Amino acid sequence: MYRTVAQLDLVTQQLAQSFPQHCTRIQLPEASVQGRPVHALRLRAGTGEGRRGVLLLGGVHARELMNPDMLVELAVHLVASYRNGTDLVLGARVWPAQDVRVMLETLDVYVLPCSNPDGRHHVMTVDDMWRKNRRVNQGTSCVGVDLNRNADLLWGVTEGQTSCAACAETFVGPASFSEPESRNVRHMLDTYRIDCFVDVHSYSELVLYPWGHAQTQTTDPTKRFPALATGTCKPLPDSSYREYMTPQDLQRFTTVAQRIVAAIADVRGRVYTAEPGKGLYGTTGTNSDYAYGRHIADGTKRKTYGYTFETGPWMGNAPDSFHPPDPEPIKREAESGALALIQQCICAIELIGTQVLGRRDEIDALRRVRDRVLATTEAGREWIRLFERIQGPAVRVITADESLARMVADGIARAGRLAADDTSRLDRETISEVLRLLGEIEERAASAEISAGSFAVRDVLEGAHEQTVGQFLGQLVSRGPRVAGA
Amino acid sequence: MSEHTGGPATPAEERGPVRFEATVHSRQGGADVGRVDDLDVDRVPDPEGGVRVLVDVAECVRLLEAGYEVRLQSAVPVKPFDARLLTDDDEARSWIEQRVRDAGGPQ
Repeated sequence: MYRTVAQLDLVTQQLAQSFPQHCTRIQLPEASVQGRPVHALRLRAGTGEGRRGVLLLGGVHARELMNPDMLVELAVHLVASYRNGTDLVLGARVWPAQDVRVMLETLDVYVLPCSNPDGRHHVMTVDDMWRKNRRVNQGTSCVGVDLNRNADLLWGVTEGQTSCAACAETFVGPASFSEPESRNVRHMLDTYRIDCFVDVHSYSELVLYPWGHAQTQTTDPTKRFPALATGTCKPLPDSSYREYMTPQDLQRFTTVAQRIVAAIADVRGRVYTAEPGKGLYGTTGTNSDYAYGRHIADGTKRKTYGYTFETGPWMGNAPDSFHPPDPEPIKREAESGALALIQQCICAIELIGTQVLGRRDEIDALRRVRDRVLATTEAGREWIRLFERIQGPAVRVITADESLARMVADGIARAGRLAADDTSRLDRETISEVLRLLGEIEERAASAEISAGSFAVRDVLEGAHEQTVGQFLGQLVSRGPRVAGA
Repeated sequence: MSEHTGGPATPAEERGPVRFEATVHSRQGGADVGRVDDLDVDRVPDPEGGVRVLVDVAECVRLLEAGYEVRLQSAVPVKPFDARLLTDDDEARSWIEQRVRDAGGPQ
């Protein structure tokens, strides 16, 4: 079953009224073209400012009906799980209550479920295959701008499925961010700390990440979109153009996308495909590429990892694929994918470092090691991948025990101080302390991923006695983590 | 930013009440199916990776005139969303009220 715009609104309203300590309803600065108010919901628990944030966006394309429903249900499920301490069960996938607690106590989760209310209303009352907003395009009898072609990332470059024709379904609009509904999304990105983002669409069972306008390459940093002309109403002039992405960002996108795919598959076995947006078809001006690309176009903006989901399978015809008669199983798997994104947005070191230590210097030093040293080689990137895999279960254990959290924070502080000086030496005491902490976490987590990670770290640390930090890092970037039994 | 108005696609208000879901194919020696996007028709994902579109009669004619073969798959009338799949207001209200109660919210 599907909700009307008013019924979606009712859910966010009731949540905010009933649980003001967890849910804050945010009226966005602009009403839709036809004057409907647009709301987002912020979910959080506990205290603490400056948290990392996730933005879940839905309803951009009106006919892709099930995603706004899924997003308000996700909000309800998160609040209920947190308050009751119950696991969140999505088909065969169980999200432990402890994981939900960590998500809500460490992040700000923003949900903008119905960004195009006029379009949804039009679908409900006039045309169930309507895609765009309801702007009357000046000088024509045509209605609607494609709200996923209106953002300021190569806006008006008609690569693939993007058009400057006012009557087309993929009309880019008269200017970038010409539409109030698109400006609301930009407002969320400008106003709140958003580190991770997903724009939920239908259909095709895909998890997409940048880029949509060209294939991605990681070797030529001179090829970046801000150097290209916008508003040309022509495709990119060079069809062999490949857009640059740093290897570490590409790795992050692919690693997280795979975890999202796995979380979706856990629900009922549907295996989504993770790929760059261009794999589906060429696009410009999309919300997810804009969310990620804006830090490249403007160095003052935060980096936001932007994804697009295309939920649901082919159902034999387009209308049933956009709004299946029974959307429930699709919503649950999409919800699981969104939870995986939320979980992946938690940065264990930042979380423990800032919340327990209350300062950032050592964390920034560790981040520099990650970005400037480890990320430069494939072996180093394997270490980053390993850390990203184990941090979810590790955070669960660490945050459940204040004394363990304090010990880990002290360990992070020590590691951060060491990382700041290449010539400092790894003494026996430091290594023993790290190994002891690892053992403690491994024992409490009882997780195969943690055990595998712990093995790899022990393996490399045990031979590191009296090495300088520079020598130790040199070893990491030349040899990836060893797997037990290999 | 420049202003762009008009274009080759059919204005929604001029469309007949029926559209078609269709697949588009290259004819021997005809236009490359990869260029269908240039015609600004409503393209939707195709399970086989082909070109699937929602088109009215005029758009169908345009595709044919551009040298493509168009295979109609089904009629897709312009109509409101099936009301049987819509939650009614009472049901929507009682759903959220129940969830709020279950989560220990105010009665």
